[in-house]
Amino acid sequence: MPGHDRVVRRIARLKLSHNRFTCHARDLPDTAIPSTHPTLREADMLEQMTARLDFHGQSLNLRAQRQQLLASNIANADTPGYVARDFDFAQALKNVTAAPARDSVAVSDVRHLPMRPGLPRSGELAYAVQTQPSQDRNTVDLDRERANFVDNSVRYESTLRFINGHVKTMLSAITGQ
Amino acid sequence: MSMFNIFNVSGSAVSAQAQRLNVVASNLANADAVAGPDGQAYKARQVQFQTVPLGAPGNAGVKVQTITENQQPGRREHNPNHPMADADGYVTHSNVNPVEEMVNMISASRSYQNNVEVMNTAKTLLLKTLQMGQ
Repeated sequence: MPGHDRVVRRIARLKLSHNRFTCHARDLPDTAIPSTHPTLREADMLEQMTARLDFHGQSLNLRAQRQQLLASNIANADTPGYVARDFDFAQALKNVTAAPARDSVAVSDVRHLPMRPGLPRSGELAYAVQTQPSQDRNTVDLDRERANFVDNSVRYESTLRFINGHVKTMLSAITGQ
Repeated sequence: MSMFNIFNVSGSAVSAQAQRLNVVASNLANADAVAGPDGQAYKARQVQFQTVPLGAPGNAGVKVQTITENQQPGRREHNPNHPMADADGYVTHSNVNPVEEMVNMISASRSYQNNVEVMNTAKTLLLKTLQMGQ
């Protein structure tokens, strides 16, 4: 549709001239504002603003998963033969937030979403070491699990506060007050 | 959704511990029961817990697999005047050991409390998650 293309080009030119008028785009190199995507830089800025939020989101996800594992351990404190499970939070967070190198999926189109290494799977969960061997081969140390549970819930809540603080910061930046 | 599974896990544990408490209550109630005309006294019962996988990997609930009866012979007491005495003058009591049952009861009650606390914490965290960004 040639007519449509012309309209799009005219809108882009209008936006460009608007940019030049408001933020002195003539001072910038020509490559700074691509003619086809006048709003690309805004998207970049938004990306920068939400990157930290994304990190906290991943962290919150992992905390929730660890909370479930600890709840399972406490629930099975009296089950014969149950082996307590847990995972290394720092390592898991590194895996989740790292660039998708491991387990990456081939991307044949720019619109494909990148696959990230997900939450720890069954094979990546570790088994707790027994502190006091019991007759029924149960390895849950209830004191340790309870301490971990409380620790994890406090850290979950602190991550929530980080997110809330970040949202407040961004909102005040947007409203400009 | 992630943390809602805690209610399934801890709920199953609370239910299993409640059943264990029920069995303990039944044992303690029959601690002094004597054998009837068939010579069979009450036998102490005990629950057997089993792990059940629930939802995501690593998440495991509990269920009561079976309830077993203690097959040890009951305590026999020489009391020829008792209406339930056998031909030799012995009365067979149940094989419930009240001390063991009390220990079992305290253990079940503590585990029950632990799991309720876990659910309360999970509930608080979920409610705070709901208020995210406000």
